[in-house]
Amino acid sequence: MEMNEDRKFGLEKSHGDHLSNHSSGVSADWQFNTPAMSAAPPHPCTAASLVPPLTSSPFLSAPMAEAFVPGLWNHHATSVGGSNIQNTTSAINSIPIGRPVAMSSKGMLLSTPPLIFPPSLPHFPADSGFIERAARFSCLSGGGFMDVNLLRPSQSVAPARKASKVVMETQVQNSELSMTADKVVSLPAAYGSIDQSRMDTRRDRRSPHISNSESQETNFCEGGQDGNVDSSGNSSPSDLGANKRKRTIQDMEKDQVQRGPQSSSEATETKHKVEQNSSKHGGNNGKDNSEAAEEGYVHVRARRGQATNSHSLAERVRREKISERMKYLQELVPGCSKVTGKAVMLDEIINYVQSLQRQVEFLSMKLAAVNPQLDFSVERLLAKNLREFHGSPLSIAGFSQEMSYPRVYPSQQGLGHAGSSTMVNPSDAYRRTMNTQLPTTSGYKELSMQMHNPWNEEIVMQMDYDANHPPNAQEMNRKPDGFAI
Amino acid sequence: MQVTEAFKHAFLKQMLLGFQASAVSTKSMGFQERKNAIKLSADVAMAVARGSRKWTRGLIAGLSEERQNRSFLRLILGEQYESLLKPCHSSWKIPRCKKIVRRSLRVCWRKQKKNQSGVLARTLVEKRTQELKRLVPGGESMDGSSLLDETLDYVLSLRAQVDLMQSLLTTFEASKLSRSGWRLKGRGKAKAYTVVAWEEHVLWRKYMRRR
Repeated sequence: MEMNEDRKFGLEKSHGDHLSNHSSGVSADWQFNTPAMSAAPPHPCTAASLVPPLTSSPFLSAPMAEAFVPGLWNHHATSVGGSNIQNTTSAINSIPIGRPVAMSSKGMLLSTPPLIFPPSLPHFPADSGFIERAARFSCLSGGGFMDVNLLRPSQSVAPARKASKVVMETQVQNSELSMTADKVVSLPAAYGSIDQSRMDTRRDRRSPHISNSESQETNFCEGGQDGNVDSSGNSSPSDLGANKRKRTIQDMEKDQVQRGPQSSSEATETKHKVEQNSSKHGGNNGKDNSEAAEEGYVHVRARRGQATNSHSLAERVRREKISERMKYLQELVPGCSKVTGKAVMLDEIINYVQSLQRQVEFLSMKLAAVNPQLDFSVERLLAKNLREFHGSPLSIAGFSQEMSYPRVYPSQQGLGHAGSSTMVNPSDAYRRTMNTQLPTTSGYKELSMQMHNPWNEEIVMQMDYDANHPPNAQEMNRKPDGFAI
Repeated sequence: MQVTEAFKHAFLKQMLLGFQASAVSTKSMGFQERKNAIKLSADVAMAVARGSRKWTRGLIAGLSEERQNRSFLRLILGEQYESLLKPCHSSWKIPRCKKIVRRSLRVCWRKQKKNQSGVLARTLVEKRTQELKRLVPGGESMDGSSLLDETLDYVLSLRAQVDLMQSLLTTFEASKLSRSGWRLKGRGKAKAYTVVAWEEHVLWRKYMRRR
């Protein structure tokens, strides 16, 4: 029991490390949630307290959790295989996902802590609404308790059979959380041989290492993340690749490794049931083992009065997944709250997507129409639009630096203005200004206006200049336009 | 709903880079060409800003089908471009073991024989699923639930794209208006605005006629 807990925390710690690595390494926008999440302090909380952190950071979502969890499992799998998990619970800087299986002593921490979101996660729609819905869903499904066996992917034997029993966690909220987390994600693992490859692709798609799993593909926005994953050694188990056999071998080893510690695991019920199931389905070990071993899986309990046929269980799981997604989409697509039924919903979704695409087309046409009278001034656009999006001056500075490439263009474009070559200068001056002082938003606006509209002399002169831009004034004086300052 | 600022940020930046790369305003392009270039750079920006998803890969693959886009794509994406395209077409088909597929089909058939009532509903859903697969880039190779996943993501990004382009448009129009409006002053401003609107209207009509 202790071992498992510690392993879990160690795992989360390694995740936290990965997170910090990622936040620096990731160039694109995968780090939606790390700022938010690392800010939120870990608290031993129930699912209820999970909701506040979630609502505070709107980016978080259970689907993110779902994407995150396989990452968690992968990491775990690797660490277990490498047996290099540290037993540090203190160093967790990000909030670990709750281990659904109840631990008596460390139950507090385990019980539905908030979720960690590695920056590499694809971001899914989410809010507390989803968690609640998922919670409701889990209640509705009655006996359909889902369990994420974070630490026992080796119990793939059972889940691979899909007919495995479910461990009832002591805390329902745990189950809810885990359900949200793993239901969507780990369900694939619960599939049998039929859905194997589908499972793999699905899981891989959701995992942060997806690009790695596609052996030839490189991820074009997750450089840092990928590097970390690769270095963690066992990312290959999560490879879908074409190397099922190779994976099988690795997973068999892992299974054996995990089988040992798990004998001392807390989940007595699970173990028994798992063994029952494994004894039942002694036959098809190979591939299914590898499947579940890698992914982590969900125990699905057959509901009362329903067929316990493995196929029907898998189908039920699949159907539930799809309905869950449909609920999401229902929220997303406007005017679909009253619609019930897959066909009509799909209709609405199709219409919405078509209308959005048409809108893009139309807007691009309008932009083309507007364009000839206006040259694309990068900095000016940046200034204006970033002001609209989020008026953080530093971002402009970042932009300007990154725009070194297109900066060549403004000078090349026949602006027909004497000050065209000074386009280069303002950005330098601007950057310097931004670095030296942080003007207020209003000051920033004026700054941007005056910096980036060499040809809008009228506008510039109409603006009131802030007193706190003396450096600008000096720079501006260099311009041949001779802006009045 | 959950589109982050960082995403919008990267999106805008990428789009402007794309505009610059295609030199939209310098070359004497026709209206259609300009529109296509804008749309192309907007789509690429959306895909790049979003990161690696099935639909982004599908989108870029689809865009690179046309020769004229390829140089632009190569410019924008750099070395990622080649690596993106390499495994694309081969991996679109999810490799499935024939035995397993056959077994599952057999089970499905058995179920269908028992349950004829749901057939109509199923075909309706299937038809729509096919349609959705056509709409979402890279959708052909996805299965049911992942298709919905990707649709979700795609819808969010499309929305962000629309918002972003809208704000760009207003920015342009505002600056254009101010450029001409400031000189005219007062009533002239309104006049300038109507001139702009009229020009756009003319172009819109031309565009619609061509379609």
